[in-house]
Amino acid sequence: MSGRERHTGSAARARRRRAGGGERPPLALVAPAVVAIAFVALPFVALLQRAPWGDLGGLLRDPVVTDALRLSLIGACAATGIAVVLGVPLAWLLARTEFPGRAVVRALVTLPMVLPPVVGGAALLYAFGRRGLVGGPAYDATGLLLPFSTWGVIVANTFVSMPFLVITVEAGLRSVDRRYEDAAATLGAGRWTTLRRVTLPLVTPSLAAGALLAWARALGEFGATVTFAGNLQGRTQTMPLAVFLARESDQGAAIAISLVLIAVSLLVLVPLRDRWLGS
Amino acid sequence: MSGGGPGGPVLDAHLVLALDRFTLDLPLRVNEGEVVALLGPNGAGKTTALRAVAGLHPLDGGHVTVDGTPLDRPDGDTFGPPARRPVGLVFQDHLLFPHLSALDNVAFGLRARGAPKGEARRAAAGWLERLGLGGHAGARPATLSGGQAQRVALARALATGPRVLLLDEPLAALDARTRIDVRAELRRHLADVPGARLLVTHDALDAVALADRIVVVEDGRVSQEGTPAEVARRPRTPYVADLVGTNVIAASAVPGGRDATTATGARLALGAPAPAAALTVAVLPADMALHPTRPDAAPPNTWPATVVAVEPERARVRVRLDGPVPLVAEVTPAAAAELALAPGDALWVSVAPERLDAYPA
Repeated sequence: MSGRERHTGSAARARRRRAGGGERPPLALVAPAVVAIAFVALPFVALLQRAPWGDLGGLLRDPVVTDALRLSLIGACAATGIAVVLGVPLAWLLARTEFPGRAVVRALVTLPMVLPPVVGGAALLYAFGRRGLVGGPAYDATGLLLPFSTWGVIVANTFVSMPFLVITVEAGLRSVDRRYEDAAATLGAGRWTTLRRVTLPLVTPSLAAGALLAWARALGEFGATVTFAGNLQGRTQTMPLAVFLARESDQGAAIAISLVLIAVSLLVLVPLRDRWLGS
Repeated sequence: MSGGGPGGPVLDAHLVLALDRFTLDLPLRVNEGEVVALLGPNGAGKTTALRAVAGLHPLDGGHVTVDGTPLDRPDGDTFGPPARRPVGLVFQDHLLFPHLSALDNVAFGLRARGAPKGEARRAAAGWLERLGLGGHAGARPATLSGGQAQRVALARALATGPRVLLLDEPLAALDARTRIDVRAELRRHLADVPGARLLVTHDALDAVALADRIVVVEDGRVSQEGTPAEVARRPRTPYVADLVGTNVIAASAVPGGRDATTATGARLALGAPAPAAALTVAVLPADMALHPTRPDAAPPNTWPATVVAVEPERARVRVRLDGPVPLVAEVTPAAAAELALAPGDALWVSVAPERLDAYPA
């Protein structure tokens, strides 16, 4: 072990400096970075400055706000769960198998990221609505209807957020050294054991990052939700919808709801962002 | 599991694999208790050969048979997947599962084969203890040293009781200092386990230190096979000669005569009667003398030569020479300084006939 640390003096210093993060950054990078921070932070400062601090307590107890918060959390968490359950197998297929039309499927999966959410919402209506491609026969057979229900919120959220999970997990699966799976096979593990005990643990960081991105995307979802699920308080009205509606009648309430949304987001992002998306 | 019969080879294989640049054609038998080293240059297909035995790379021809049971036989349409072969593989870079402790890495194979968690862990703990890693059971692979990681990888492969243990460049991932310790240790562990053991390496020292028998692979074919002593004493190809630090010259002679002719037409005076018509003549680099001009008395076996490279080693300087007989000579640093050797220099090289060791090619 004693032969380990045999750096020359200057190399050792450089290494220490790097490890300590004490490198002095060049101004050409610092200046635009500071502008970027200001650009992102300023709108939030402005929002805080307009917040009705005095009435905040009352506004936050308003059922409109509590209902919207509850629906937003249900919608985002359920959508993330569904995205994981359906998206991980899809990511595995895209990363590990060859099938005709794979390029088309991959493009299709990313389409909801590019499409205006309103278009996505309308498309969902044509598919799952009262007279939709699938929704019509399903309603006739069971009487169940997705649009304008909490399930509708979940479906709209899943539609827009699943691509984030699939893309992240697919990239993770591609970067896994396949020879770990070979090692598992030589130890007697079948495909399912290998997937469960080796491959999935190895892509955990990607899975967590993808789930976090999907959750964040779902929490802020507006267009697809309002188009497909409507804007019914207590049933489909999530935080973004509540903010949009309140802006027309009560600026203070809109800001208060926004603050709650920001607080919830930071509560989740600050501890997790560093762990799974940074470093 | 039966049919091999007592005394038959544990591993009986003929590996035919179409690789990018050539086809590997490698007959291979390893007996109970035997350690065989596949020695060959990088890119000779050695790793692919091991993967084929393990079932990670299907054969293009030939067969893999363990204890008489065929595991891969393309012409008979037989293929046993890796998970069902009694074969363990230690990878060059260990490939310990980074999310599992050393103990759970070793227990993995038993768990995968259906052993209950507690039982698998007890057995794994026994293996770690046996390999001197009892104190590292809970350690994550990233915190282990190279030598420790290698022992965990060995324990992981041994825990399932494979009949054939494969080791891919077992010492290549280690730094020079730990390498010597681990080499001696590995030899001891390999002697302890039953079954057949096959390792691949490009390092002659590793092969000599670890193996009972060496199979040299060049360009997809076996170029030499024998005990380490045989291979070191009588190398048959320039590659093997270079590995064991000597020169070989291909030559032909009238059997019984003392004159031989090299492929390039140079004449050799042998110290003993030629044992065959086709000869391999070995000559140690240290047995050659270098002269700045043609020696006056011009003894037999004197040739002109051009210096190709001068490579100082510890107490010697290796001089690569071109000419009628391309050779590596070894001189003292003082002699090298006196001759002022530099690439491109023309000089003369001579060697006494009794220093030439001629044996059948």
